[in-house]
Amino acid sequence: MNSATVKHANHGQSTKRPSLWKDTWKKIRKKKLAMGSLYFLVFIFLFCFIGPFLSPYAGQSVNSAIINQPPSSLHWMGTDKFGRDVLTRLMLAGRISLTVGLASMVISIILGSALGAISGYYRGLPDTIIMRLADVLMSIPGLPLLLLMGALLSELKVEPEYRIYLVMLMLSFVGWPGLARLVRGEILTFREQAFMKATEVLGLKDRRKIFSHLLPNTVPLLIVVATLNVAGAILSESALSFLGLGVVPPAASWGNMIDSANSLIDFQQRPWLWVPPGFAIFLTVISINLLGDGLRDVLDPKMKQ
Amino acid sequence: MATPLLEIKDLQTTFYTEHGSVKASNHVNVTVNKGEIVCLVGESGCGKSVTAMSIMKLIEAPGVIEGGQILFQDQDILTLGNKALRNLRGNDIAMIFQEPMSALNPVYTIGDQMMEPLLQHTKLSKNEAYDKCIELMEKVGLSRTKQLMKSYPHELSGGMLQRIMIAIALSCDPKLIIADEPTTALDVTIQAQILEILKEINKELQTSILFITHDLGVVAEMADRVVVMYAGKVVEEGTVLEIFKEPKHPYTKGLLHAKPVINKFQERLYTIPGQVPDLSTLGDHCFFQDRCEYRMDICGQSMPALTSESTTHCVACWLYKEAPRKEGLKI
Amino acid sequence: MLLLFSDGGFTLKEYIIRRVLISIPILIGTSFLIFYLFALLPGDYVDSNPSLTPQRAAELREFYGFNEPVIKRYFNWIAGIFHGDLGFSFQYQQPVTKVINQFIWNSFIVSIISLVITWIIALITGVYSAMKQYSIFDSFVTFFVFAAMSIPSFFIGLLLIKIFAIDMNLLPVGGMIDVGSNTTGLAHYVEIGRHMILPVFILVLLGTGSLTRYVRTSMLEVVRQDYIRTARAKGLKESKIIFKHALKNALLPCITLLAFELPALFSGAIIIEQVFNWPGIGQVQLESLNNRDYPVLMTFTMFLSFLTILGNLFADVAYAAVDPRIRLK
Repeated sequence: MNSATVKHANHGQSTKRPSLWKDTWKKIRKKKLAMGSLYFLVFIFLFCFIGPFLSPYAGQSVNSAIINQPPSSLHWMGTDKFGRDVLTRLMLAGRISLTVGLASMVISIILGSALGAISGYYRGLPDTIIMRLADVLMSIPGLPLLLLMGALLSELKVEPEYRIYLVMLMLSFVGWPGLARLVRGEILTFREQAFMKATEVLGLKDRRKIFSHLLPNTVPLLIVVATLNVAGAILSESALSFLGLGVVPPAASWGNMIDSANSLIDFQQRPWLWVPPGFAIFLTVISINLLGDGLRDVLDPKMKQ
Repeated sequence: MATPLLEIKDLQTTFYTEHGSVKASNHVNVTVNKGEIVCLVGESGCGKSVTAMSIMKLIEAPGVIEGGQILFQDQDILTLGNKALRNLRGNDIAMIFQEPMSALNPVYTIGDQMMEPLLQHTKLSKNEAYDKCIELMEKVGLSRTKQLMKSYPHELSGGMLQRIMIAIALSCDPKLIIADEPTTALDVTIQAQILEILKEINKELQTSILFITHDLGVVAEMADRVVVMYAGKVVEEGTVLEIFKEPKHPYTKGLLHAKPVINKFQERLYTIPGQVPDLSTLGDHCFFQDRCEYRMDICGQSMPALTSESTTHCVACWLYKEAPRKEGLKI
Repeated sequence: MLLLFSDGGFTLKEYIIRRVLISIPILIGTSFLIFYLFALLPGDYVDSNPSLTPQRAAELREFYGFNEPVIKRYFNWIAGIFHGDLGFSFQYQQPVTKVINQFIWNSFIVSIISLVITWIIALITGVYSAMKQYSIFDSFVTFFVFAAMSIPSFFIGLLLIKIFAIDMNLLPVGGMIDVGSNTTGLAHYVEIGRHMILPVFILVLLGTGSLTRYVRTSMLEVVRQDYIRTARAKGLKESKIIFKHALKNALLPCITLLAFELPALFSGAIIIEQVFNWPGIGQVQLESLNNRDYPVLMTFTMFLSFLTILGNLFADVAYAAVDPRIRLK
């Protein structure tokens, strides 16, 4: 335990922060599985964000002459009921799935670490309020809560393009309490250490103490949790969209592409419509998980979920 | 002449880590005679504990015992099968560890854990084992024994737990007790009591003790003979008088020099310059040469062997030998 | 020095009481948040029925009390709960309790079977792969764990239906019994069993992943401890070291997980039930959502939250009961 905290403490000085990244990179490079996953993720990103420019088809262009075609040399993954190229749509859907996953992670991290830090630093009343709120949110099962919020969006008739942002917010709303607890725990241990006593002596402002001295120490933990959080968010988004409560058409996400399997004939006879996005989710999420595991080994072997 | 109980011969235990192989026990020879207390001394990380663990074959991956013999009553422990080994552990050879707080299982009662070796190695019934435990506890100076039997490790202090560990070690009347820094984690007053108990056991039952420590005060108190280790090798060996009165190896001298002496004013406590070398990057030279104030050219070129200075006193240092024939060396 | 008799901790009883008291405000907060979220929803059951005249709709609203302020409705709702009145399902035209009772056991049977199989598999593979760390078996388990953690449940469900039910025609596509079936007795149970194979398989697949990992990590952590070395030095048999000294310690954190499973037993796997058309409570939740049958949904969400809080309570108490160190804090 002790050696781990001491290690964190070293990273506390802001001058040393670049070495954390360098150090992490040096060590992670030796991990084959994590590196393989990283390369694959880079590929997925290029596929989704650059791919559509290289595709001869536009994702939204409807062509009634070529509906529901099986994979061919022209359309590698076939076409859907509007005659749209599935491969191109897969790339565009990936943009949204990845963006939702990343953005909701960023929001959760910001919310979670800020609230966790305030809670751990000030203790007392703010701590009680924040942690009770976290307790309450964590007591409501995640999926029903998400479904409920999804239904709320549908009731409020949110436009599909704004809906994506609200889905990100929903996922972060469910995600922050766990993070806040983790950060609070870390902050509570660091608070007592000598370098924090030193900031006391220097008479630093609270804000500076929290943001330049306490939070940077939780960075290794946050990197790992953030990675795994993205994986979780992508999975949740896909499930929600599959149920028609997340990202809704005409915007495409991997989850709502699989929604086509809800039509019996598509499900039985046109697997090219729903199998590729399923594997896209699976491969992306497993890569993120493997990368996260590699990072965990490197940044703090003693850390467990 | 004393009869040897335990003879460690040419023991090599190596740890294979990411940063290369670490020779924690590098051709170590140690003998413990019947009824004798031998102290194994050195700085932390010099291979004392690894040597002790090797005796019980308690080395775990990535460590490997690569060679040598450990003769206990003329039988090589390293060649024993699992069953024979288990019959030895806790029975003929018992061990006491450094951290009493973590050496006992937190979820079982003291009684349960004390009775275990008795039930394993003797034919005692549960009730007889219970009585024996009470008796053992009294022997190591514990009172309210019945209550203690029912309590859990976290309810006891470190000193009490170490007494329990000693009681467990004694339970099957071992011929040898290996004590791996048993007092390091304890308060000074408790330390003295624990040492006293161990000495009494040695006197009363003629149990041999291999005592591992870095504390020379403890050595002076306990030892019949002393073995000094440095960087995985034995550098000096002798009776306690020889080591304290006429230490030979510069490292031993340094250790003695670094020890505070009561009633003597010291401007500043002596420290041996430098630190224990990285055991994974050692070449063929004296491992102490870079910290040694008597360093000669030969020290950087060849490893001195352990040679006898008297019947009981050995040292591995070029200061005490003639240089090897020059033809093989570029001087 | 005598820690033994100046124990600053709590007895188990005091600990339980304290822990229960902490749960009460959480329960109140949870119930209010759930109620408030539902109150936010603009539509209600009356809105979703277009055949009603405006006058009739207004009457119904008055009747169901939709016009009152949120706080008042909240207290009405809470008061109702204490009288055993959990509301009325508009959709089923039955008391909510009756609706829930009708479907929850279909979900429970799937969950409990999956849970038992999951734990058996996870405990065995977890302990075994920890014992054989770095072996081929261990690497295989590690990879499987990540795969299981990364599969979207609905996708694997669809894929297996496609392969086993449609292409190979080995297993039923979904539902609990065949369409138009009127089997009785043993044949009836066999039929239900056949329909359960795929959903249970998937739930087990998804569950074993993280649990196996947890058991394995916990076991690896424990075998490094000093007291395991002590046990070895005592000359105990390896099986005794593993199953007596290591396993009990390794299982302590897992007990917590078992208590966390409590709500999952009753929640119904919403997605899996949807994919397999299993007539369980998960399906009811989705249907209620679509039909704005909010009393059912609200009551059920509250019920699950209650079970979650209860599960947490059980977890802590169970942990304190088996690990005497916990109570000291």
